[in-house]
Amino acid sequence: MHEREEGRVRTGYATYVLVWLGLMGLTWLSVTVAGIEAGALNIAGPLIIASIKAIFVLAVFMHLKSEHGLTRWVIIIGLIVFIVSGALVFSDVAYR
Amino acid sequence: MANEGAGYLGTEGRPGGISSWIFSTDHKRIGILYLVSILSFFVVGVSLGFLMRLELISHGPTIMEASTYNSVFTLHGVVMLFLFIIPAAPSIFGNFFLPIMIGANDVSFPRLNLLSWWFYMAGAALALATLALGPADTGWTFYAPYSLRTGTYVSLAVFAVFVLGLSSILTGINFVTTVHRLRAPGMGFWRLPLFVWAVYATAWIQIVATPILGVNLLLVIAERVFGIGVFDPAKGGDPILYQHLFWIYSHPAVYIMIIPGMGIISEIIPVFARKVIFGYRAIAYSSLGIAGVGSLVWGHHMFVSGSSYTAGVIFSFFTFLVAIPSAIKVFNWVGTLYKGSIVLGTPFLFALAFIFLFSIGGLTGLILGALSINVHLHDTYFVVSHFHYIKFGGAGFAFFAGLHYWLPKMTGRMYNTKVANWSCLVLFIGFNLLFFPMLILGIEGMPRRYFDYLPQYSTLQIVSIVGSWVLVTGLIMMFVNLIRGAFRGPRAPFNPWGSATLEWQIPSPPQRENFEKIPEVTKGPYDFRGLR
Repeated sequence: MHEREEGRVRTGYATYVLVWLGLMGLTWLSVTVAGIEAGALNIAGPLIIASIKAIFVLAVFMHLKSEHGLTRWVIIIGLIVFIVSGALVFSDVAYR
Repeated sequence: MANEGAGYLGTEGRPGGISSWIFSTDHKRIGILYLVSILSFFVVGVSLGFLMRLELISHGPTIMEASTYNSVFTLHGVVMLFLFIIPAAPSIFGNFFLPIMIGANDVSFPRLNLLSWWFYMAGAALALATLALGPADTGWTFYAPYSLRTGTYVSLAVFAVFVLGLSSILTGINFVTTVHRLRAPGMGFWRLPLFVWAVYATAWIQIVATPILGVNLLLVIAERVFGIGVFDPAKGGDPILYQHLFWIYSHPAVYIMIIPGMGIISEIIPVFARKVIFGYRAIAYSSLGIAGVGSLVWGHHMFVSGSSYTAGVIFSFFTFLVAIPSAIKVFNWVGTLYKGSIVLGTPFLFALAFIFLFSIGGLTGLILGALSINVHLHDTYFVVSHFHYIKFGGAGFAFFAGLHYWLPKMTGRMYNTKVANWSCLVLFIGFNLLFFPMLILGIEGMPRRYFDYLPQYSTLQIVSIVGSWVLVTGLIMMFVNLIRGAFRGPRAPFNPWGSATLEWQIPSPPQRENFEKIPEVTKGPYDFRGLR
């Protein structure tokens, strides 16, 4: 499914289609979960699903899995900032 | 400009005219484009601020109505922050000097660099278009829900800021890549000049934080145009969420303004003290520390907004924490001065003014970072004074220091140093006359953004207004002297200050290719051995 070309991994179309189908499935799951009354999990559930989808998009469609060095660091630092910022916002929302 | 035909300013071998500038991918020419455009917008911002102060010279409407005053302070904020102080140091000096200081011939993505300037100009045009159409009256923060309902051109102003943010992100990406990929042989990270470290740390903030503002602003437009209910409490939205998303960017933006300024000061102090800088690594790490911890303090803008007490305690703690890397820098600068052979050049005088004014700004920031005191001082003149001490007294004076330090290199000509020294003094006096009374007015309860005031505030208001006149006088003195020097001043030697960094080892102004042969770096940036 992967071809190595001039030092870079090339992703095959089959992988893109499979991941796309996976993303569609997760979207369906998000919509389904939204209809279930689960208290605090109503926020956590969709966020976890969205995070999994984001990882798929970053790794496959944005080719992050075949990148290394600085490009990976940019994403990792961005993720850390996102998680910390989210946690700090929730320190307000959860205790308001 | 000076030395026509010499260096990157020359036209030999290529067509001249305006197109040779606005379509140039040379980082030095793009730096000059930013210089001219940013200073033009600075004049607009100063004029608006001057008119705001003048309005307050007597009670009631003096030269404008209350609604006009609201629009003027909004535009003053938008222009000064997004068009002047955020892009000034990184876009002008970063573009011009970062590649030279690391021994490179250009940035990693020269065309992207030019695109950044075009985005900047497009954003500026949109922002200033609101001036003709009907400026927003929300303040530069565009707080919801008022920004969702007011009939003024908020969507246009918000979109202008969005476009300016795009420009900032592209510049940040360019600088990070350049520092990682284009350093000269021997130029390890621990041999980078501290200005480069500062611009590098700033670039990370630009990349990481600016997209959050972009999303937030697009949501405001979507809410105004399509009526979605993300922020509007009438539709189940959360207006405090807007403030979170706004300040997640906009507080780190304060560090986008100040960190490059600190980098400039870190260049100037050792050169004029003729000493290796004290605590090089600590200063470099403190730039990263400010960028990191400074991204966690935004909630201190929201202590009285209705956010939770728990969040208030956490953000207050982080606010106190960010004082540590800031203080590290100040102590190291003072440590560098200790027993130095100090030369009182103009850049150094501006640097000293910076340290004094930034210290006042920093200490008043600690006062505002305390939860209980903030309740009393929130939305008063104290806040206005505090952030002007940081942004103008800090970032602004550092920018002026940089102008006086690097202009001989950029233009190949020298300004009149006596006039420059006097203008520094007049600016310093004018600034303190203008903004120090505001600290007292704030403690006494004078609210910000009011176009009128009670009689007991009259005396200090008048002192502050007179201060604005003195400040403007100093600005006119400084810019006339610099512009005159750039065009008609005597030729500057290639290294008038005896600096050790790479940009001073090439001709003034630099040639089109910075280096005929990429240099091999064998010593640190503040090793003055062998220099006068």
